[in-house]
Amino acid sequence: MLNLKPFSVKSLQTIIHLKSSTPYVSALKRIQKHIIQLPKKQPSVKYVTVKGMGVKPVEKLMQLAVFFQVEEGFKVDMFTSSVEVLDEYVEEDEESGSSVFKKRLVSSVVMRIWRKDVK
Amino acid sequence: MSKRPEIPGKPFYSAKKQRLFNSRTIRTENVDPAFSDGKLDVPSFMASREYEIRQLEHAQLRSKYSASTRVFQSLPRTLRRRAASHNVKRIPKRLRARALKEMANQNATKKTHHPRGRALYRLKMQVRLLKLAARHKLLQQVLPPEMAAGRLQLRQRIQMLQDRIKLAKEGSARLNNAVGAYDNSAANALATPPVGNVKYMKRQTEHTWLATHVWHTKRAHLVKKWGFQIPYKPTQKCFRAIHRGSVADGGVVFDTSYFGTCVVEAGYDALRAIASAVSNGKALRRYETRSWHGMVFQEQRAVGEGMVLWAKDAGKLVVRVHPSIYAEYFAYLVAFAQVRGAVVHDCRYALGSMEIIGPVGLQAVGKVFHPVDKQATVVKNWFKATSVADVSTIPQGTTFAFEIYDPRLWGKPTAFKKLTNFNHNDLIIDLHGNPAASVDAAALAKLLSSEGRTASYANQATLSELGKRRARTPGQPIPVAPQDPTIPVVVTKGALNKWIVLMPWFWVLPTWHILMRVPHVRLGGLRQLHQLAFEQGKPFYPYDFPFLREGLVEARLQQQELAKKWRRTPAGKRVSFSKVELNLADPKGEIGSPFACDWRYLQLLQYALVMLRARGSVVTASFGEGVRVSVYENMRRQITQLSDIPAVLAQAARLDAERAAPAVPVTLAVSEIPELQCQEPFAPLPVVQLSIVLAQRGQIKDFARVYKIPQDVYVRTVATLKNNGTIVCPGFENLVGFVSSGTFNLAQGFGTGVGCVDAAWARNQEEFVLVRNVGTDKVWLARWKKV
Repeated sequence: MLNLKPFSVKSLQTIIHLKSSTPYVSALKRIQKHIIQLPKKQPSVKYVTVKGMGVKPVEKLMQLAVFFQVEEGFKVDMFTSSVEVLDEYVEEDEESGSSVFKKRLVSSVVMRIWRKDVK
Repeated sequence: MSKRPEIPGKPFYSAKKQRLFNSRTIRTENVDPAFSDGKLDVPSFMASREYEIRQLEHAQLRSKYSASTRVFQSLPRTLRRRAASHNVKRIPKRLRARALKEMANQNATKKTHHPRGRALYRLKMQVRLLKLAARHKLLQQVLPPEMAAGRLQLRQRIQMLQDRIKLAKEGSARLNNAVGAYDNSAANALATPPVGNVKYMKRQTEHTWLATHVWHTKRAHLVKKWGFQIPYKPTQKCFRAIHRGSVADGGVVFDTSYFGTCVVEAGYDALRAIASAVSNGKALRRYETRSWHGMVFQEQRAVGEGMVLWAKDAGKLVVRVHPSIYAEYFAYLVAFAQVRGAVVHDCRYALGSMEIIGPVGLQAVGKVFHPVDKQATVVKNWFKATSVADVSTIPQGTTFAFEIYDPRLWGKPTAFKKLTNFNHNDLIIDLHGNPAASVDAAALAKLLSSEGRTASYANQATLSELGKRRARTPGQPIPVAPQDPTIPVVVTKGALNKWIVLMPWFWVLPTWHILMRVPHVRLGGLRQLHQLAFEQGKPFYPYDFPFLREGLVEARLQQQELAKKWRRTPAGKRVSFSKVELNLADPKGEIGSPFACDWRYLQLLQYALVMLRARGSVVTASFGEGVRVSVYENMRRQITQLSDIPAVLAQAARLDAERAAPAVPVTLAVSEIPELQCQEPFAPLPVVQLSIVLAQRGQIKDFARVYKIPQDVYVRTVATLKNNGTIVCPGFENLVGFVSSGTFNLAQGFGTGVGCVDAAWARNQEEFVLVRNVGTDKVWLARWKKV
């Protein structure tokens, strides 16, 4: 499961999550920085993973993928998937009323940008 | 003084310089046999260089150790305690022998001081007292609160101990453990503060020490506050480290045992009434299965921060409130509960707590807690929860309760097997509304009863006992023995993604020691709790709650301290607040007190502006509650134009300074905001809490002034500032509020603030405000929103 991978510094240095509020250029710079630092910080990892969930981040991620593939000449992989999220519904009229959790699926895209120096 | 060894005709070199010189001299081979006839014999050249390189390496080491280094300097940064490093007790035990040796050399020539006469007698008596106290503790006795009374003579204390030892030998009741742990609670009355160790007893009479006090004194600054000595902030700089630890790559732990916890025991209906009164009708229904966190109420009036936790099966309710209001709130609860036939137990010194935040926070707790029944559903779900990577997805209020073994049996944090074969969302759904899935009712009942907590202390092992047991199984955890106690614990998720751990008071320290050994777990104090709330744009009780009494008290203390500090600074090196020129229209000087958010100024200003607007009719006010202050009409000042206001406000400030305790000047606005009535005494000004984010580059500091943008220049001002232009600071009449906590926000990446503004203005829903730091005339454009 996505959310059950134990916390690790490795994932911190190789995985980037995009939010809908992440500006395009900020994301771009952050990815570039991760790619540059990857050989030094995580030599065994061959690619940087970028994840986005929902309409806006997915669109942004696509644009970034095109940029890194065409402009920067990286090998880029794209995977689509669905992420299960949970909503809590609280009774409208009373704040302390009962509440229900409902599952929902959200589209997501995972991008891998491969290091150029490793085949 | 010892005489220097001087050699006639030669300059004197100190032994230290000589040693340094020797250590930095590297021997080399000057004549290289490998180089002959213009040819280089590579193998022999290499062999000779090998000699040189070895010499170089040796020289480096010699040089490193020849300088006067002390043992504490070899410690990693986090273990260094430079302050009072002469005190070996501040150095880890394994290095103490070396530290003592170093200091012995250092002070070789110093004459040792021998106390004589009365001083010697007193010391001997003190040793005697300590020996008696040790014997008293060995007999498993608790020191009576009378022991700590300040008026007692040393000899009276000794006599008291001797009497008690005699009684104990004759067979008076003993504790069930050798470490001196006991349950200190009381029903319908405040429990007596614990006395502590005899050696440090007198230091705890006013402000109780937490169980982790001695641990904290070596690593943090502490403050005396709210009847406790509270860890304020770690000695080491940690602004960034705390941010990272709480958000990205670690955990931050706080000992929050100073929070007051009381347990209400009653039937269901009475508990419902009490929960409703405490939370203003909120901690009911769905909160009967999860903890509730928010402002607690006293007679429909919010008074401070708190938590409510239901233990429905045990017929109990846990109310945990901020220590600043605890005693008063407890009295209120007792009065409220007694009418309904309920009993309120004061567990302030019986239930300890820790708070932990950060991505590895819950995992860290999981590495320390070893549940007794690993097959129970509750424990299985606990293991699942500790396996979740992003614990922020677990809803606030989620509560676990179970029993654990003494964490010290394992000696250090243990990695548990992470579960990956379950659906994280299903876990949350399972836990929701189903207390049986996460709360072991028996464990919760045990934690909330005095007998249960006492049982958890039975045979609590001393460190030396544990050491002996560990020696039997070296390298292994100590096997659990049948007489080992089990400890009931509650882990619940609070506001701001914090996990709150409740456990018996005397189990906090053993747990704390192991918890602080989990990698990436850092220490935090009161200031760090403030920082974490600030980073999430949330007000922190009591500092950001000027409309509550405690908030006002804190602000006033801070104001006095800052003012004192400012007065001590030489005139040339401090800001002359009275000469700050904000704009051409207003009189010179900072508006309000420069050392605080001057809510009184804001309140009177808004009243003065109302009077000014209504000058058609006859409106007068003295701004001094009947004090005759001026030569104006009817011996009262009149406000007929804007420029009258500063003088009136200055005069009011002077009168306030003479008064002992002015009333709270602001109040939190409810939905209906009344018109200001210009009758003395002035009603508190309704305000709303806001969070502010700068819309341009700049900085916000504490006490920054918040101005509205005058309507006629609104569009122009916003446009100018957005294009990094500058504008003149608006006049004092535009002041609408203050920022109580403001600085650079690492979570946002720019300056933000938390504060309050005039509720009447906040209705206008303008997007922008202007912010100005104290003592400057530069204004920043900022966006704001209600908290």
